[in-house]
Parts: sequence; structure tokens; C-alpha cells
Amino acid sequence: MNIKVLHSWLLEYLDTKATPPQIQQYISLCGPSVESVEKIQNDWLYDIEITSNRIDTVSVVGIAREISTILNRFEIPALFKKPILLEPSSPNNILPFTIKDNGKLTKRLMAIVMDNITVSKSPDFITKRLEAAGIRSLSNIVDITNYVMLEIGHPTHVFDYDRIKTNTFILRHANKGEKITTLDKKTHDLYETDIIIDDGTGRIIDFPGIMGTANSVVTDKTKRIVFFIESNNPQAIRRSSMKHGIRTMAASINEKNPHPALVQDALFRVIELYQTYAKAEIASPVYDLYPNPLTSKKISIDIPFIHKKIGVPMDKKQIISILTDLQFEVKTKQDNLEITIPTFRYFDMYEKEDIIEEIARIYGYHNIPGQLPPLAYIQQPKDIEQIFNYQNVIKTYLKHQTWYETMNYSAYSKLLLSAFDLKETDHLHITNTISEDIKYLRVSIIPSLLKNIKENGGFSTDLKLFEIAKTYKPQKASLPEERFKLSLVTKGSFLSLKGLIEALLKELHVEKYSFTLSSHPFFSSTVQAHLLIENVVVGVLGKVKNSIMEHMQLTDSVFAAEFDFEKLIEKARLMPIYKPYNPYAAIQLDLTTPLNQSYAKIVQIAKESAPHITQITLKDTYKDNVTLHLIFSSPNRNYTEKEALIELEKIKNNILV
Amino acid sequence: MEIDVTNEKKKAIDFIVNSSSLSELIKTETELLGRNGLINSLLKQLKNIIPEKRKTVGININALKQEVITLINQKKQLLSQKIDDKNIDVTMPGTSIKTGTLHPITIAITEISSIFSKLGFIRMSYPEVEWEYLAFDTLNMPKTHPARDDFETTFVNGEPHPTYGKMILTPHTSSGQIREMWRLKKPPIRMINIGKCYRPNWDATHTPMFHQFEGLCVDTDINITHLKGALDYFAKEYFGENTQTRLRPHHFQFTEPSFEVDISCTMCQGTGILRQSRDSGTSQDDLKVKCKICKSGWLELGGTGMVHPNVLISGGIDPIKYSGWAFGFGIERVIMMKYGVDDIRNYYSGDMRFLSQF
Repeated sequence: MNIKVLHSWLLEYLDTKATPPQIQQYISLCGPSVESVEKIQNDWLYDIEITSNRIDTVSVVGIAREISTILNRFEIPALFKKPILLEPSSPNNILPFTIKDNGKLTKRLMAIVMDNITVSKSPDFITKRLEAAGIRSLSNIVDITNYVMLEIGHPTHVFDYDRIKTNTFILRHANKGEKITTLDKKTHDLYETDIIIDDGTGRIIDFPGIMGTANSVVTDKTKRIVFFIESNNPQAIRRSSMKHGIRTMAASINEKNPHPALVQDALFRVIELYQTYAKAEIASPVYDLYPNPLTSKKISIDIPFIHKKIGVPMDKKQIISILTDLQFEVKTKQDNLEITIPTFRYFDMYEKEDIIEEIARIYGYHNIPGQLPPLAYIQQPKDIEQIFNYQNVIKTYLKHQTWYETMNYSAYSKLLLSAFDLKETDHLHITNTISEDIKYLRVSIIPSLLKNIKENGGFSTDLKLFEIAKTYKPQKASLPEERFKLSLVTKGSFLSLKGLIEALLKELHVEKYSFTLSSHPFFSSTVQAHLLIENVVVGVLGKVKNSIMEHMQLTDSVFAAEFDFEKLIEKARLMPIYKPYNPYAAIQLDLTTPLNQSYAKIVQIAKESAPHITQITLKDTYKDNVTLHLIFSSPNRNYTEKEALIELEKIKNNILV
Repeated sequence: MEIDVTNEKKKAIDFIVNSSSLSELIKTETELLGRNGLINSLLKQLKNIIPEKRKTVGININALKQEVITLINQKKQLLSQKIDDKNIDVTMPGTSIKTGTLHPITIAITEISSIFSKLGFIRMSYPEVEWEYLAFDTLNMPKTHPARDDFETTFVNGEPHPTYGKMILTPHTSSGQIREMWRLKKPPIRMINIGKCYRPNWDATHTPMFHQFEGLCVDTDINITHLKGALDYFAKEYFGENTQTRLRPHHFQFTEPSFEVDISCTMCQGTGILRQSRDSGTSQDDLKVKCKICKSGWLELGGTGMVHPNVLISGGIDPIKYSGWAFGFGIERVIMMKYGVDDIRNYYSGDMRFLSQF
């Protein structure tokens, strides 16, 4: 989260001559990131990013503390002026008030009742500082609560004492069916996990840590107030705030676990400001329910360990001075440091590495030199190496063959799934998907590619798209099987797609492959085939069947192919198997014959009838005839045309039998 | 008497080569092959050669004659072609050869893997559907961590594992850290894990799927200096030699210390100011404008840090003996920073107006 703070406000807790741009530059290097600093009239406004572990810096006081430590490292004098907060005096009259948190739903509760308040406009400095921070100024009573949240770093809340008729605050979980109307006048149905405050009659008077309610909020007529702060369970705040979509600054801070000690600081500061700017009188003792106060925490670390992890030698004096500047207490015993953690750092300091971070960042990451890690050889598993190498080979090849690579989401919609007659139960699905378009994890890439074809309708008539991606096949009691697939779609023809696949196999130097009939549910039953490499089915290609085309609202024929990537490359080679060329003369002849049986059968007959055939290619097709181009040769002498013609005649006869 | 045929051949070739027009060539032809030409004069001298050598020399002269005839004919062809060459319109397009495109993510992955392979980092691929335990618990993110809730993590309906929890889509590539530690059992580790990541976020600057590349280096005596060195190397290799890097303090559960890495802005060279020429007006000065790409000269690259001891422990590695660094950067982000390919929503839209550009 980000906070916006005026420079003049910081100076109340910081003595320095550093300019705001200097502060921005240095603080960003060693502490919170100052994303911008902007001149506003006679002042400067900082916009500061607060990381979730350093919620102690979400305040003017917290930032001032960081700045003073850091500036000193850059030899710019700076002094942190700790806020001095005095315990409020005892009340003259005591107004009745009761708080109960029997279920220990909060870590600490503090409250006070104040009387005879004057509701008015806030003094100018408060209005100005709040508005610069992006908070609207309403009245002195409300503004002071926000002012203290920004200054001390703990959210606070004020109630109209007289609007809570029972003078009683009971913290409890919400019941099913209960509703709450927050002070922005929105009504929310509560969950049983929500924590609310009940006035003892079942009436809900607060959504603690998140937002106040319309029925207890102060008004212009308010005379008496309850000022109330609680240290919440951060997970409960996060859950309720996200579920109801109420993302107030209070919720953002409370869910990051500010230290319960801050509750008292904030309370005392608010009382002081109410007395000064709202003429408030104390009308109750300070209530404090803090059943399990946090004790102090220590971390022990050795200096050589610090050197080893940072990689730069640093002297002991320097280390100690960094830590004490950060308000850690350090006790040394030779090379060992015993460090006591200040309360405000309680929740982000756990182990030695946390101490190392503090030393290194204040020392300055820019002061640490860089060097390459020492060389080490780790073997990449061969199968992984092959997958990546051949992905590059295949993608590059397809690109040069005028194909476009696309990448789609790893999931598709129920609509797409049913268009392809796929079963929901054959898929894993996302249970909290943000869009129904991406719910079912793909078992095939073809549906996404067909969607691309549909959505690029106007682009080109001969669109050719491919994608290589993982598919996710559900497995019993285990993670899904993730396999890379290569899928292609084109508006061309079955033979153009087959031709591309054959060319790709040639590029991969795969020789022993064949195409056989298949019955894949995506394709027209008569226009599809399996690709087999060494008799293993590697994938399928075909014409997308009409029922799918209809669902996709496509009219021009679409052809698609999908291959298991690892099987496709299993027999691939970067170099073909070398064969010495035949130095003897070869005879080339053409043969035109009716296609009275399958092409494969004709080729087979030709090979069987003519022992000197070394190559057969398809030269032409015309009506029901094919013209084959045949090459005859002998491995040990020049072959003659006369001999070849005799073999050709034999082929003709055997085909026509 | 002797005749040096080789020398005569050299002379003849020079004559032909130096004939730069058809008329010159015809003159050369007469000089070489005419009645009183070079060849004939050589043949006439044959009678003065001693009889034992006469036959060989005669054969050589005839071979020379044949070669001269061939060379003159070839030259005639070349010279007449020269006459036929009309002035062409060089602005006419060449014969079109079509090509497809690779996805920008593919291009970046190739570039990134190659940069890290030079340091001995191997590219790995780990599950995209993963157990909560590997994506969070092992990475020092307790059950209560906000990143684990429905708003930041994508859950999958597969049957939960009795100890590893629910099935999720990897919200980052960091689960690959643990997988690699488990695979190797013992450092050294030098890994680049590139994969798809998923978070339930879909707006102008987020897509529910994106790519990350994760670097992991674990060994004895790895410290902050090695992280700085490697990041600096990557930034200079990928973004250009003049690129500067800086580390800023940040917070991630799986690293301690944690940093955010910035690189000097590729647009304004880290100055935060772009110079633009004035369109009109009298002043010759350039107009100085604030760079719109960066935050005052620096661009955020992503998160990094020293591997948290709890993560090493989860990976079965002794955090006293070994230490390491890790980073996870968005591929879409580095492409945006280097090539200015902005609107991230285009990457996975399958829109040819986008794809056909690369």
C-alpha cells in the first residue's frame, strides 16, 4: 500500500536540513520506496510505498524514524523526535461504559468516554494534511481519528455515546442472516466469520477494524463520544474486508498486523487532540483489555556470519551503530551480538537473516560490489533439453513455412468444451475463476486455435496458426499429467496440412512414419488420419467436423492437427542418417496409372515388382490417374534404360491385375 | 628455337579480358585468330622447333587456339547481355516470399535462456498445476498469508493431497525452486525456470495468465555480491551495455533480505527527462519533458533476494552450509521495457493484428 505524507508534518518528528528530493533519493535506496515527491505550495508531498512486513512505517512517525537513520549514513545530520504521549488525567465524572470480548476475538482493546465535545471544522493544518493524504475532511471529531491513524500508524474509531443506548460494547461473531449498514450507507449480509460489535441488545454498532456503522457514527449534534481502538486478528480483517469488498485504509493496515503497543500511543494522542481541538472532557477511566501482552524478543547473531551472507567485511562498530540507530538494543560478547527487537518491529524480525537485511540495507546495497557466481556444472536432463531445443527448431521451421505462432490461455469455456463434445469430467477446472471463458484446463489446444480462427475472421483467407503448450490430463489422486502438444489449424486443405507435416518430419529427419485411418471425435469421419512414427501413434490430423463448425459459426472448411510433442521428437535427429551416394548412372521414368487402389498400395506394388527402384515420388494427379516419377539404379554398375523399361512394364501389369 | 605456350596464353587472355566493348573484342579476335594473328604466327614458327618437340608444341598451340575461341565466344555473350540490360525500377517490390511469425514470448524466452546458459544456468520446466504446499508452505508462506486466499490464487478442483493441500495453478515460478532442490538433492544449483503463472486478475495491466522466469543459484558461500553480479550481467546482456541496475529494500516471504531490482530507464537513459525538438517557434533549444516510462530514471524489473533459510530447509538443503539467491521476473514486463510492447492483453488474445507484427 502507499501513503501520502507532507514534508512539514514529517518535520514535527524529524530534525534535518535535507531537501525533499534528497530524502526521496536516499530513503528509496535504503528504506521504503518514495515513488514521487511533488511540490505543493510551500510544502512537498511524498508518495511512499509501504511493504506488507513494514507496517510500522505506514505513519509519519514511522517514516521519520526510518529517514533519520538513513540520512545519517549519507552524512546528512538528522534527528528523530520521538512523540511524547502522556497518560490522560483522571475523570471528574464517570459515564457508565462496558466492553466485553469474552471470546478473545481481539488482541487488545482500549477505550475512553469523553464529554462536552464541540463539533466544528478542523484546524487548517489537519485539513491540509488529511487532504494531501487523500482523505476528505469532515469534522474535527472524525478528522482527528484519521489524523492519528496517519501519524501513529494505527486505525482508530469514534462513536456517538448517546446513540449507543446501552453503553455496552460486546465483540462477537456475526450470526447467519444478520445485516450491517456501514457508515457509507451500504448494507452487507454478514458471514459467520465476520466479527462485529453488539450493543448487548443484538443491535450491531460496528464492523471493527474495517468500517463504522451508520447507526453509531458521530453527527453534528454529537455531545458525548466513545473513543475506541482494538488490535484485531489480521486474518479475520483480511477475510471480511475482501469478502465484502470494503477496502478502507483501516482494513489495509489492520490486516498487516500493527503492534498492539501502538493502540495506546494512538489513544493517548487522540485524547490529547480532542482536548485541544474539540474541548473534550475525560468522562471515564482508560479501559484496556490486553490479556496477553507481548514480551520482548531477542535474536543472537555472530559477526562472521554477517560477513559471510553480505559478502563485504564490515566492522563491529559500524554494525552496532546501524542497529542502535534502528532502535535495536545490542549486547556484545566478543563476536556475538545479542539483539533486542523494538516492539514496533516485533512481527517482522524472526531470524538472523532479518538482522542481516537491516544491516545490509542501511549500509547501502549500492555500496556492495557485484561479482558473477562461481561456475558450477549442472547437467540439464536430456529429455528437457530435447523438448526446448526442438521447440525452437519446430517453431522456427513453422514460422518460415508461413505459420503464425499464437499463445492462448491454458483454459477454455464450458461453451467451447461442449462445442467439441468434450466432457466436463475429463477436465480439471478452476473453482474461483474470474471469467467463465477460462474455466476448464485444456486437454487439447485445437478448441483455442479454432476460436482464434473465428475471431480473426476478417484477417486472411489462408490463416495458419500453431501453438505449443502444455495440456492437463486429470489423474487419480495426483497432479494432472502435463504434456506439451503441438497443434495446428489452417483453412487450407487436408493435403496441404499433410504436406506441411511431412515437410516438418523431413526437417526433423524422421524417416519411418506413416498415416493410417483414424476416428478422432473432432474430425469428419472420412477426412482424418493418425500419424505414426515407427508404428507409434503420435497424433492426428483431419477436417474439423461439421457439428463443431456449426457451433463455432464457421463456414469455410478448417483443418487441424495435434501431436504429442515428446513423441513427435522422440526419433528426431539434427543430422539425417548419412548414406554414401550412388556413383552409377540412374534411369528416371514416369508412370501414369489409374488410382484403382490406395496410393500407398500402388507404391508398395511398384517396390515389390521392381527390385531396382530406389525412389518413388508423386509427380501429378489428373482425374483418377496418378503420375509417378520413378528412379531406377544399381549399387554396382550403370543401370540401362532397357532394363528399367522391363521393370516398368512389370509394375504396370501388377498394378492392373 | 623454343615457344613458351604458357606465356602466349597469358598474353591472349589479357587481350580478351581487356576488351571492354564488342568492337574491341572483334579487333582482339583478329589479332589472335586472324590470318596474321598470334595463333597463326605461332604455327608458322613451328617449323623452327626441333623435330622431337614439334609434335607436343603443336598440340599445345591447337589447345590454346580452342581455348581462345571459347573465351572469345563467352565474352561476346557477356558483352551483348550488357547491351540488353535496360534500366530497371529499383523501387519495384521484389518477388514476395511469405513468412509467419513467432510469438514475442518465444523470442524473449530464447534470448533469456541463452543469456543465463552462458553462466551455466540450466533451463527447467516444472508443473503449472501444483500443490499449495509447494507453491506456499515450502516457500515460507504460512496458511494465513493473504496471497493464499481466493482473491490472489487460482484453485483447481482436483482431489486435495492429504499433506500437500489443494491443487492450484502456480501463482509464480518459485515452486520450481523447491522442485529443483528436491531433484538435485544437493547444491550446486544453477537454474532458470520459465513457466506460465496464473492469478485471478484481469484488467488493463493484468492478465490471468502471464510468464515468469525464475533464477535460482545455491552453493557454499553465495552472498549478496553474487546476486548483484548476476543481475547486472543480465541487465547489460538483455537491455544493453549501458544499463545500470540498483537494488532497493523490499519484502517477499521466500527471500531474506529481499530486494526490488530497478534498471536505468531504456527510454531516457536514466535521466528521467526526454529531450524533444521544438516543432515551431523561434527558440533553438530542445524541449525537456518528463519521461513517461519511468519513475525518475529507473524502471522496476522485479523481485529478488537471498533464499530464505526456511525455503532451503523445505528443499532439504542445510542453510548453515549453503546459501543462495533467487529472482522471479515477468517476461511480458521485460519485453515491455526493452521493446515497448505494451498492452499486455494483446499477448493472449490471438489477434492477428498483434501476432503478425513479430
